[in-house]
Amino acid sequence: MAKKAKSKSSPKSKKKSSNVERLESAGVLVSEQFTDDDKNTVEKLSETEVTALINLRKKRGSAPEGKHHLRPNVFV
Amino acid sequence: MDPVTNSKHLRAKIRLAEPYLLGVSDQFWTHPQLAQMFPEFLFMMHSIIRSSVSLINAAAVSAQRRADSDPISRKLVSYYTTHALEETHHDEWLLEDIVAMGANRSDVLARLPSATIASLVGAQYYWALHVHPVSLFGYLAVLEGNPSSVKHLSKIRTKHGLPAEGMRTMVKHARLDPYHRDEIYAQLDELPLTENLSELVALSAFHTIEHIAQALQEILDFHRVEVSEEAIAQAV
Repeated sequence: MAKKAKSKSSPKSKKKSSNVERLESAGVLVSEQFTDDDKNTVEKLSETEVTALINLRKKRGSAPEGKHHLRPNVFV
Repeated sequence: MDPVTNSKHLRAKIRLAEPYLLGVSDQFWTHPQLAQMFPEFLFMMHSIIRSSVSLINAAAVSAQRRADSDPISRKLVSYYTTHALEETHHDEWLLEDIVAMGANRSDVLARLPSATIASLVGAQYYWALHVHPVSLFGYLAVLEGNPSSVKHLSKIRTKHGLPAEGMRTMVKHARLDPYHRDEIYAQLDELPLTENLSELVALSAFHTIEHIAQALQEILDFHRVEVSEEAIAQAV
């Protein structure tokens, strides 16, 4: 079974970061733009999914976020 | 309240991952020298779709092998078998477009696809054969999940002076892919996905986003180097 994402904080840390907090601090999302439903979905992401999203964000670097309508399908 | 379906989950995850691809894609489609890079883009697309029917059939075979003991695989067999038929000859259409733009057919087929494309497609074989064939939904949802309109393609063509014969397959897909996208998500919603398999589909989607973005970035980078070299050659 997929495990829920855990923070990398030491065992002594009292508070674990939530997925929303981790993804926001990595620049993946802006929580203010998310509804509670969206946030609940994000909290269900696994550790692997969260890590993959953070890695993709790092690859984007400082490049601006694109506009959805400018991506024609790369079809199969 | 609407139930949170598999497709809604996947769309939400793709939205989180997609800005990287959208950023590179915007750079590509708004580039002032798009017309010069367009043949490379078509070659990149052909490198992908030449594998589509084999890949989907491999997922169908994997699903068939598991069907007796796995209800999800049982549902996938007919979907993949039908979808492979729907994608048949699309690589040939695109090859005809590339040839119509002046390329030599045998040169296109002999040219080596990039390692990025091999990684993009190769990972899908691995997941479909060795983990679970449902993984392919992540790949299909990214590739077919954002169909352009014919109007949008026409705008791009006019703005950048792209040849109409190079975009025939893109236009056909603009008409076909809305149906394919709806089929993918409808099929996904019928599957009793476990958390583990839902994660697998998401990882497949993220991997696809990453590698398509990388492939587009490589075309942009290669073009930048070519332009620099031409400038140096003219200056000397």
